[in-house]
Amino acid sequence: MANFSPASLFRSLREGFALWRRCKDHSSLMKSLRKRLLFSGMAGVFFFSCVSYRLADVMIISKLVPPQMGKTGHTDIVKKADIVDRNGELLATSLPTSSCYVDPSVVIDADKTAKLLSTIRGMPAFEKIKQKLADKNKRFVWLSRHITPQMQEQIMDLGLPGVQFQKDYKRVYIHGNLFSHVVGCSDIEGAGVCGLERQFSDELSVEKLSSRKLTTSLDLGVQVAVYEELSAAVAKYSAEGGNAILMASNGEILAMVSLPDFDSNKLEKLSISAMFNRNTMGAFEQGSILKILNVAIALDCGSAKLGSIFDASAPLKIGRFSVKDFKGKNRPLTLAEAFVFSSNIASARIAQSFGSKIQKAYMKRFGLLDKPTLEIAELGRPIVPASWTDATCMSVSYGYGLAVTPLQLLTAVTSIVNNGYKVQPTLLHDRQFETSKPEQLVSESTSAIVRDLMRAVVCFGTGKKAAVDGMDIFGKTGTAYKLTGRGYGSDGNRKRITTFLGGFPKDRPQYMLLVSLDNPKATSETHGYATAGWNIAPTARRIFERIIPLLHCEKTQPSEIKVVKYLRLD
Amino acid sequence: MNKSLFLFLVALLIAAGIYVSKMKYEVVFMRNRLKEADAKMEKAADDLQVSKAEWAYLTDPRRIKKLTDKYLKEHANENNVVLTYDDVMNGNFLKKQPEQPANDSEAQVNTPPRKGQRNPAKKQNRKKAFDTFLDGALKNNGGAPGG
Repeated sequence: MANFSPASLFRSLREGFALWRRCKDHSSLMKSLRKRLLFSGMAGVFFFSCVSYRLADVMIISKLVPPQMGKTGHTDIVKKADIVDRNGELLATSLPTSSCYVDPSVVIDADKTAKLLSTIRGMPAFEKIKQKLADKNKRFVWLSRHITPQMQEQIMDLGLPGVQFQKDYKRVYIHGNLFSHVVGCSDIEGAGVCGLERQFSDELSVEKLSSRKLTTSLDLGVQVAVYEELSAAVAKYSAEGGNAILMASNGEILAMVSLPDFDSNKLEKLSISAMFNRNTMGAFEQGSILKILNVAIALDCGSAKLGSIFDASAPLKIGRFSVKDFKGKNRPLTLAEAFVFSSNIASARIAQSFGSKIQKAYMKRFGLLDKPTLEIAELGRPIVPASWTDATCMSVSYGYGLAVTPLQLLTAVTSIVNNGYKVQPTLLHDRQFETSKPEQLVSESTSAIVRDLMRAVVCFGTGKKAAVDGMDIFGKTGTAYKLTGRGYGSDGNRKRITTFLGGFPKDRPQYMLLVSLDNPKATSETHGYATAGWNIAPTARRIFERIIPLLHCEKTQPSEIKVVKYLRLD
Repeated sequence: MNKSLFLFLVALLIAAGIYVSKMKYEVVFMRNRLKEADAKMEKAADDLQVSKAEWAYLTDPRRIKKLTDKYLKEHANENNVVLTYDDVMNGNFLKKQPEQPANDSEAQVNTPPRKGQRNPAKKQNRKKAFDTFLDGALKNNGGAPGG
């Protein structure tokens, strides 16, 4: 370390002065020094100029400019996209509202605040508000969501510190209970509870949906027609409930009604029974409707033909049970007659001709053994027999032993009548499925014969009351006993489900309808009968009459029914 | 470096500083205006949404039907007599229309009265009964009632 003393300092100064005297004599050296000094000075001036400018900017100039606008309050409110029908009619939308919240830490007199707020109509009770204001550590507590403008004005007039408002969005279902099971409903935060609202809860947030709306395959006008007619039928026949689905030949569902239902706008009145969607969750034995599949299997696998004879002259024994016909013909029947007259005995014999293995394979192919697919979460599984014995095969042939949902059944039959090509049900409009060519479940000739047979049912069989002038309606009725406890109940005390499954027009089916009534009662008009031909077939006719003009279907000339030559109409 | 070049550079520096500062505040003003425009757009979109919802409610088919039945006093059209072009050209519609009553009074008598509405048939019967009474009274009293 250098020795720092006054002597050494004086020596350094003397040497520096001598150096300066020597340099003074050299002009080029002085010039260079002058330039360096000038440059350093300029740099210093520049630096201090910038500092001065920034100081002036922050203290004086920025005060003259208005402050930037920012967001205040709770920021998690999301506006959901609209849900519309296939024609663009609004089904569900988010409307702007205001919600009231309080900052308890700012509230001066909690009792007075709670008392004043509770006097306003629509606000919570005094005790509830007081409880919300109790925790002073909280900075944000909701007081009331989605308040009316009048309430907001009244609260503002009170001038209470800590009470503030925030813009909010309320989910509104324009048509009330009309689409309750399909569109579903949302809770107070806007999260979907059931139906499409739940299934597309994420996609419906506006940032994600590019077109700002979810277009469904539903049709408002058709849904109203189906809803009104089904409601009238439920009331007329004192049924416990009912359900209906209308499906286009490409799988798009135009209408889906399940009764009883609920108002999507009134969540507080929601009940579990009303939320039950009979179309997609109600798996039950469908009865004679399954004869459509039975006949299709027999024709497709070649085990029987239209003119094949099956003995229905006496009840058929299956173990300790015997299969009987309701108002049977008590004679041998052709396959066509067995279908048109809905003979259980002949159907069981037809099933015996192809056997349980083939039947199970076809049921799997038709999608009746697996959970269906649809764009809602409320889907029920079918109840499949544990073992597929010959007895099971025979009982399944006329609709007992296998419980499926109406959606599955309608999809299977629509596929069969659609020239045998598989149809995938959907609630979205113009949905593109991945498969380029649909799977063929039965041949086109089988499909044509099945349509002819179903047309014969409407012309000559149990579906006569479903016929509509000027349109080739084809269909099948079914009356199935409901399982109550361990059995079907005793005579005179049995509950039924009556179903009609049909479509139009016969030669090129465009629409298929399934409509059911749960435990309809006999009336004087039905002459004491409560079977499908008396209650659900007329209901189907009224539905067809209303929806055919809405769907712009032209009237058709009645086409030839080729299976007539296999029928002996007594 | 000569004096003029030096002065020029200093002037350029000061001008650049002023320009950048001006641009900065212009951007701040424009950003504020953009936010105001966004807020107006959001309000307009909300108002439009409310209008759409109102329209959908007003044109609800069930509501229209209720109002039609209440105020227009017409029966709902029977949908199974909707005609096609061929029907009109072939004249089939003439056979399909329901028979119209001959005159208004017949129409009133034939159509069932609505709830709360007076039955015109009863009114006619009352009139008839009064006429009969009056005739009888006139006959009994020599032509002048109360005479």
